Amino acid sequence: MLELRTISKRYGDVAVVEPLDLTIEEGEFFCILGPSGCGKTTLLRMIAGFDRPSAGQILLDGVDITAVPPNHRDLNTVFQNYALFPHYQVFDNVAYGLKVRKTPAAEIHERVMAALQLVGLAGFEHRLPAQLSGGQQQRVALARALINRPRLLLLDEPLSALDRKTGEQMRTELADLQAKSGITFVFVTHNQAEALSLASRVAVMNRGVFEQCSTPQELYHRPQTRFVGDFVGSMNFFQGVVTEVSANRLAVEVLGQSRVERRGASEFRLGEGVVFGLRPEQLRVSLLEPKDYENGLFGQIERTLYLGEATQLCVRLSNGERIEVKVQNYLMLEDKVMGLEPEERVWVIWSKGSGVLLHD
Amino acid sequence: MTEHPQPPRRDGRVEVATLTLPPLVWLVIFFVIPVLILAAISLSPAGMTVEISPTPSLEHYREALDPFYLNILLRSLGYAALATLLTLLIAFPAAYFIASSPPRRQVWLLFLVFLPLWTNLLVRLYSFKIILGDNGLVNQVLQALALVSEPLTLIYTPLSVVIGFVYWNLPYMIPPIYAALERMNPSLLEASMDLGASRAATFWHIVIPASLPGVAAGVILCFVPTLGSFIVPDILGGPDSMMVGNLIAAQFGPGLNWPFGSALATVLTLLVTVGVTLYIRYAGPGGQPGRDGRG
Repeated sequence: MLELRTISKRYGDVAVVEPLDLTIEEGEFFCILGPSGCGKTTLLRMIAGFDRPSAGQILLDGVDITAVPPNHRDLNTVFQNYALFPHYQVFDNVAYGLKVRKTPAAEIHERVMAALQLVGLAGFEHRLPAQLSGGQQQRVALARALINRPRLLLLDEPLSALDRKTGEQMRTELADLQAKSGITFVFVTHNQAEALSLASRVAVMNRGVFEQCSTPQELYHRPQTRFVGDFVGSMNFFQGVVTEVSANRLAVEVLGQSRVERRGASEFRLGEGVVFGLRPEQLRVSLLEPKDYENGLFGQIERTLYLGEATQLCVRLSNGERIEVKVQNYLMLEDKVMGLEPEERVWVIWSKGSGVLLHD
Repeated sequence: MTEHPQPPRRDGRVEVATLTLPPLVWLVIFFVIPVLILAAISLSPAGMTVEISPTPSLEHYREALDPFYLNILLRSLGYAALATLLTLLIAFPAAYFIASSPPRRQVWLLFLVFLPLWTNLLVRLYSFKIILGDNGLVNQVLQALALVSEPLTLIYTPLSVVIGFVYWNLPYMIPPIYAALERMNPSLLEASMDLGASRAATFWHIVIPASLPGVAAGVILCFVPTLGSFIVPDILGGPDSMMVGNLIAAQFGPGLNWPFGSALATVLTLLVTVGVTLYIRYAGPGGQPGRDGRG
């Protein structure tokens, strides 16, 4: 329903958004995730019509809207700072879109009340924005956009200005709102937890390009680039060389000595340089050597951090590289490694199915 | 803005008192006491000149409310209102243009706005005699373009007085409006467009309300000094454009009737004080009922 065709944005010599393609389907909760300055907000502003793309086209329901001004696009935006009109009461803020479209007063009243009901702000219609909390302002901004029943709702970091608890609560409400309204949401954020928990699909953006565009599960479990692995969750990376390839087995030599084996076929070639990625929670520490279904690296504990339900350890390997490990404490007890002190020598082990291999 | 403002701390009172004391002393010495002296002089019986009399009389106030003088007061109000309105009409687009310029250019444009203040007003008003005179710049241009055959009488008319006021007021009207517009969150304009409003509707519904605190401040800064001004009508005006300021100046100067001048000045001061108070209460910055919930 929304289609971006080789859209790009340059300011002079600086490319903020490199040419990229994207298709978003009806009813999707699509998330653009990336660090600040990655071009995600610029991309959103081009969809909204505030910025003109340097090249490329934007199509909404198959119609080219690249040159259509924002007030004639059938989409609405929820701004990062909400951009509520400070001189209007909540009612008039929410009614604004209907008023400028000359909707009959009775219908405006009915729809504003319904929209406020929807976001849980019934009874607040005569407050001014300054008299509302951050979370309430956020709801007004949502009601003000959704009341117009847009084809597409754009949300620019809508939860980042809220305190953590309110933000998490709003997250659930956003998901409900999207499900109830059936409107396609495009959500921009730098917060991976928001992206993973809300989105049906996530595009990870970095330096103006999409690194990966897939479901949250796929993004987390099969990151396609080192950046994605590191930005979504955290990941330990090792350089390695493929030393053995067969129909159902692959061996990689990392750190010059350890053999890391993986089950299953792969697209890698013998002798190819690879990057091997492991998430901290895929690792365990052990005083015993790895079993035949496990891989392991030997090292020395540098520090431990007790987190309550888990322990986070930093282990320094023989070549000086560090590896972050996060183990549930019940497993630490089971493995009899609870209360390990720095300087103790341990095996960091993981099952041969774990980890991702990326082309170097 | 916090939802529940903290009540002022008790130990903050000393600081507040320390900070408000100097301006308070300044106001008492240079405003309250002179106005009281003026009021006292205005109560002198007829015929007395400068002394403060032990037996007050309202004689000079009776005279001040004579239709002849009331007419001058009304004319002054009219001039001030017209000049303020025209100033606003010129200052608003200028302020809007400055506020929407890139930051570096804003500094230069504001510098240009303030530049005339580097020269004495008297000198600048005399230069208007040259511009508006019968052989002045305006008439020369008009004649050169063959738009008029005879020179227009521009100088020493109500028109030249109003032009002078507008010119004088602009550097006081543009900055507050600029400040209000510059403070406006630019994403409000995008939000308005995003919700379907045209540029014109956005201007009317969003920009104008955002500018109102600045407009209110600018109107006071222009209207009040214009109402009491005597120098502009004195230099650019004719015999029929006398304003209350000229009248008062004449009583303290050639007329040598300080009590009557004091009565006129007291009436003007009262008028301005009551007017501005009402204005601030009902239309001034943040004063509109309901605008910020304090109304």
